[in-house]
Amino acid sequence: MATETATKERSGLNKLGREIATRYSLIVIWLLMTVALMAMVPGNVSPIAALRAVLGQQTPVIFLGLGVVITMAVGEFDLSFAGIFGISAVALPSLVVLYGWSFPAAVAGALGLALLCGIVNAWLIVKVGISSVVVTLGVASVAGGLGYWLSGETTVSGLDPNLANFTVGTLLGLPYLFWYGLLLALIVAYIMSATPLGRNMLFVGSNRAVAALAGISVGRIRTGAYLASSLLAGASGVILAIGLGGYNPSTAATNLMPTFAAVFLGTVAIVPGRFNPLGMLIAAYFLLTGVFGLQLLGLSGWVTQVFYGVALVAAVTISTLLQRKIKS
Amino acid sequence: MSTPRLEVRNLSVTFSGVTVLSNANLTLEPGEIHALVGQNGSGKSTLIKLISGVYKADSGGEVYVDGRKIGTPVQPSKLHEEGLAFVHQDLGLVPFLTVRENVRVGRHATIGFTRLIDKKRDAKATRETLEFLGVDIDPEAKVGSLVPSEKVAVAIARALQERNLGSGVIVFDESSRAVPPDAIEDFYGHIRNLAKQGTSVLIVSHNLREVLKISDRVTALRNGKIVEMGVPTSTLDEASITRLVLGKDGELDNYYEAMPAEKREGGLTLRGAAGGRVFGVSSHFSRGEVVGITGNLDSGLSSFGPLVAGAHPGGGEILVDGKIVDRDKHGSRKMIDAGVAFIPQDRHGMGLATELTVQENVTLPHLRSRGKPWWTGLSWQREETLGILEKFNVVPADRKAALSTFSGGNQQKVLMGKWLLDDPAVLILDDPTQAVDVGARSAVLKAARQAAVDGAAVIICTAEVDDLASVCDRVHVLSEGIVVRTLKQPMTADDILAATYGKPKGAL
Repeated sequence: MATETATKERSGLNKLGREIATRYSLIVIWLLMTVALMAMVPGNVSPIAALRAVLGQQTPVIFLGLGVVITMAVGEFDLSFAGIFGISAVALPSLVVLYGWSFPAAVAGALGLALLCGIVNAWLIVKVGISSVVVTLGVASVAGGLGYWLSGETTVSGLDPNLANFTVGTLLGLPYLFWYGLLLALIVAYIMSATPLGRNMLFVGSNRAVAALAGISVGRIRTGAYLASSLLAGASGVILAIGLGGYNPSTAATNLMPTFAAVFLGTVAIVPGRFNPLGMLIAAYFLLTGVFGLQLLGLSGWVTQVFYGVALVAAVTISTLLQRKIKS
Repeated sequence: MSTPRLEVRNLSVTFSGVTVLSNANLTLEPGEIHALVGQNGSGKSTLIKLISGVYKADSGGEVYVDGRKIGTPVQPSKLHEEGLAFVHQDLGLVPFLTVRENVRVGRHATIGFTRLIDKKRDAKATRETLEFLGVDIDPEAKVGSLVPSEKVAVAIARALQERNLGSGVIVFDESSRAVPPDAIEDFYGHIRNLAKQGTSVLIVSHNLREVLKISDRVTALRNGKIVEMGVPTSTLDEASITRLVLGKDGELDNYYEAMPAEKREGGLTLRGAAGGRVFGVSSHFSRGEVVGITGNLDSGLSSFGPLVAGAHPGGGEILVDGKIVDRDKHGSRKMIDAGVAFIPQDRHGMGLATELTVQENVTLPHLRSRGKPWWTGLSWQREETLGILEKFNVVPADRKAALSTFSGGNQQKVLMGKWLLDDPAVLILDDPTQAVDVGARSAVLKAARQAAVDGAAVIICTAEVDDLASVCDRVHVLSEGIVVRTLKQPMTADDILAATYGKPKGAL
């Protein structure tokens, strides 16, 4: 009897151990990669400085990734987030500098444009029933093009430098942008894992018929996901533009790959097999560390694209195999 | 006896340790129309897929055509030259291509080494086949522009390509489902015509009336075994063929007698309720009784559950405990809030999200009532789930395991538990014992009866007459969307069967 209990406990412990191993393996690999990179980089690199450099990057990937996690979790597919990010980032400085709008009006305008894109997405995909790939690809291109048009096809800068402190000002040695991302990720993670809304999203993404029969408004959840995603993209555009004082529309599209790679790689961490915000956050910084390390090694340009491409495919492969294991 | 056109000997197949079909034997004579019947999961589509080479059979099975051995394994690419053709469920036509292209797909005539399609030769071959079928269709017409009966002819013409008249086997795999009512007689006419020429026809069908009407012999499958091979349809009627399909998986206890329930105030009232294929039902279902709804396939039986669950907006009124439920918008949610629990037929499609955990699935309907908008709460979820696992004896009792790792019977128990938890006013079960093992079947029926004892109005929609006789106080028989007969206890499975397939006139 006693041995039986002991065996039971041990198997319980084993299970817990395995669970922890799968949940946090990405963090372990991240640490290992960091150590390996520091060993390879010539000269003395302080780990603290390196960490600060990685976490302090002015990148919209976290915000965009949260939007993609939300749409993916409810079973939708959104390719337009980078375009929406672009038009918002360009609209803010353009409206202020080129069109003479007041700063608050321009912020509202930039967010409004983003939301408009989200409404178009939601209306065509959810209401009319058009393929989400087609609609969001189209909206991405339209948003990108309008961004060029708004800015007169140049980099618009000239926002009040004092405003930049809102983004680049630091807390504990890290820029506010990092803390905003972390805070938002925690909020989205809370909503998705601990509220009825999050559970409803999960079921809409997993099986719409089951969700509908349980009284969930499937259409409303899907619409909400597109709107939330577009607002997150718009907000990241506004925040980035404030920090940089302006924005060049041509760089928006480069965020597409890192974001998708982070979102899919994120499905192997924290809540394995599901799209989840904290997994995405960890994956995003994991990838940024990798790119940063490669740059320190003197590799840049081409290697970034290769790295993100490999990471995306590897992430999807791993999570597919993981899913198969859960299902069997 | 002449050489059989198609002979299948000892065909078995095992998928990951589970025998899906065991030792199937089947013989088709030249020129006969042979029907394959059985419930979902009985193995009939598996048998067809083995003959067509989609699945690979276990070693030992043999397939012969006109005495020539063609497998196993059957090479799908060789089927055509061996004289076997398959017409699929949806007829497999591409509407925006022409009749010629649809008929000739896969065996286009070509010109020399350019390999361009020889349209003239294709058109000629198409015309000849259509002539043989006795239909006048332009080979260059788009299939999308044809009337339904012509589409059927095109699908059959494709199966007939390059066939010597009067030879070969054509398999219709649930094809009549895709044929609209006004074209069905033409469809049967073509099949009879083919058989008269000497071609053997194997039809797979759920529609037992159709089977009796057009086939010469019937082979029935149940649980992966052929239970009767080649029974002449002249010896069968609708009741006996239904028996053949459903069989008796061991006697069920009489839960109606063993678990007496007391009728109470309230329950579900329908006043001319219509929606889907239900065209107007008025009846009262009291709390504390189990009422069965049955009927044949076209009776509206499959629409009844979704209708009461609010999935079909439609005419008439639905009252729960005397209050009218408005089901124009968000019907499902309003029905749930009124206390109606609906356990749908398609467990995987509509009942459960199998990649999610047991706990997530069972607590879903109660999140709104027990959770707060900002916090789902944890302890009630844990307690509820453990309660269900224990009450229904779900194995393994792991609340955080994905549902896909459970057996079908255990999934069904979880699905029941999910909806019984809230002590619903009305519980509707749509075909609850489909594809579950015997043990789970009695567990499900017992739980349904228990729900009535506990004070719910329970409605079971099913064609399984044994289930109905075992648990129901009353049974309504549907036909063409209305209730045509009502039976009361004491009643037997045979009484219900007779009432379902008997003549519409008579006892009412």
